[in-house]
Amino acid sequence: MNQTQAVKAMTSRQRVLAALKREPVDRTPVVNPTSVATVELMDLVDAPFPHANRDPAAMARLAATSYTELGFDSVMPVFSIIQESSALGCKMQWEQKDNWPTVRMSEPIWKDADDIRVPNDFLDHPDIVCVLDAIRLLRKELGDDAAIIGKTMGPWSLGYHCFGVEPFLLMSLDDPGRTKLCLDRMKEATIQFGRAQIDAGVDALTLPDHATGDLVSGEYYKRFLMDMHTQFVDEIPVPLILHICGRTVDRMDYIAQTGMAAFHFDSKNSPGESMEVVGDRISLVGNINNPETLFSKNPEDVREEVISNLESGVQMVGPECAIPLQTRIENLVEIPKAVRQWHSAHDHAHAHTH
Amino acid sequence: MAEIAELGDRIELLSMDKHCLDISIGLYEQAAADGVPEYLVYSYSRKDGAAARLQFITGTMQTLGAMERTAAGRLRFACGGAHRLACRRLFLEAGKLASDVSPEAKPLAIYDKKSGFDITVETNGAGTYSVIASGEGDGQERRAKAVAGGLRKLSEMAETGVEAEAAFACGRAHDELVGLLLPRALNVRAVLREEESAAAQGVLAAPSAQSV
Repeated sequence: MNQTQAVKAMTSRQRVLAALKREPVDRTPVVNPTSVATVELMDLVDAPFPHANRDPAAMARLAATSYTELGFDSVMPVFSIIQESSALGCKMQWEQKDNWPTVRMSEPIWKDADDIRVPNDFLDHPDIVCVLDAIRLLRKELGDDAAIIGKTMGPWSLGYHCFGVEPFLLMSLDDPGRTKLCLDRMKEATIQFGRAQIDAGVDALTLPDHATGDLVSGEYYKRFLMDMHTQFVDEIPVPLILHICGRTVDRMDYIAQTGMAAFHFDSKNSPGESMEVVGDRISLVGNINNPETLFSKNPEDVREEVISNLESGVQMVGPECAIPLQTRIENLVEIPKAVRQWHSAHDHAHAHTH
Repeated sequence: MAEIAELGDRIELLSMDKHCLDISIGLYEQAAADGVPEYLVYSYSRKDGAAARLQFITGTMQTLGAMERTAAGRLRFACGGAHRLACRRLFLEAGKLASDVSPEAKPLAIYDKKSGFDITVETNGAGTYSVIASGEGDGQERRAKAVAGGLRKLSEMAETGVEAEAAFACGRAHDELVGLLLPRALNVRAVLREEESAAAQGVLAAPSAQSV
């Protein structure tokens, strides 16, 4: 159970920061470490994709809606996973309002470790500056009320983007040493972008590193990424939220040893089994299912999954990943609503038994 | 918390209206005080032209589906039934029309290019529709049954025991709805493909699952 007894009312920001440290909270925070942007929210604040991925004011307006409209405790301006890859020179497909921008991984920019180069002016690239300016705007707008979470992509994800998925995975099989060298060189982009977002005002950073359950085993995670993720905790001095999609129970024990503040976990892992593995070594955030529950089902179904997380003691509740852009608003507002109602009922019952 | 409205359940979405500045338009369902399901065409966009576009789509749904419009601007069927699936289809079809088009209810007859038959639909006036295929060659009966099956699938109409028939559960005539759905009932697979494609749009995949 979450520790909520006898804690004074907190602001959203205080609540999130406390949960990241597994300290007592007045109620479980509702957090979006990836994205809750939808096409309707884009209309509401006139900040459509792809503009909202490239213009700081639009990015900040759209990000703020998760706090001002949906009632989440955090905001996340980096909706996509491509800002750094664009700055590194990857070929981009910016798409349109109702679809995600993507990297054309079929046209990789690097083939070997010697090709890797983080440009000296990496942080001056417009798609990086956009994020940094949006964070500053959000801090000015929201003050200390809501937690601002930034995002810096891990080297495994950058490897997919810059080398292509298949070549990168084949290299990891054929030449693990060279793969480690590549990861070591690419991590500079992760660290630089993360630190720049801290300077701009973020409270925490999501670090997606797509060693996903479908392609990469738990042992692979340990061999290639565990030490590097541990290193990030020292190099990027703000609470880090690791995000990996898919079934990841087989690596949660390793992830819990990295010193990361939280792990953003997928609905392919049940809240109960996940909490059992990580114990109190790392906070969990998640894991409302996107494609089925949030996209296709009803608020009652969303509520069930929220409660399942709360009953298991998951420290922060939110969608498992970036939500589909066509997700219904009524399903999103149900998340904070269900959390508040559960706490109201639970805390009331708790008070009566003491 | 500011501008999110209590609109009911969003049952359908045009994520980008190409006829109006790429705005998103939703179809929302809510039960009225008398329990009858009502539908609202709504957009969060405040762009110039958005309000007029919503009026156009609402008016088009009225015409193409013979729906009634309440004082609050919501739509409902006179029979009091939901006909949710047919209403969603009606909304999507209305959204395909540019605002300078004058919508007209469609006839209960169509030429079927695939089979070369003329397809007509006859009504008994009490919500049951019989599909008849006529023309040269063989297979009229099979084609009529397939089209009736298409109508049932697209509008949640019921079976009657006769394979070339489809019936509305409310027991009332909905000629305009059937006229609207008839062209689509000729090729239900295309409709399903369209729906699958719309459902996949806007879902962020991990890099390992992307196709570009």
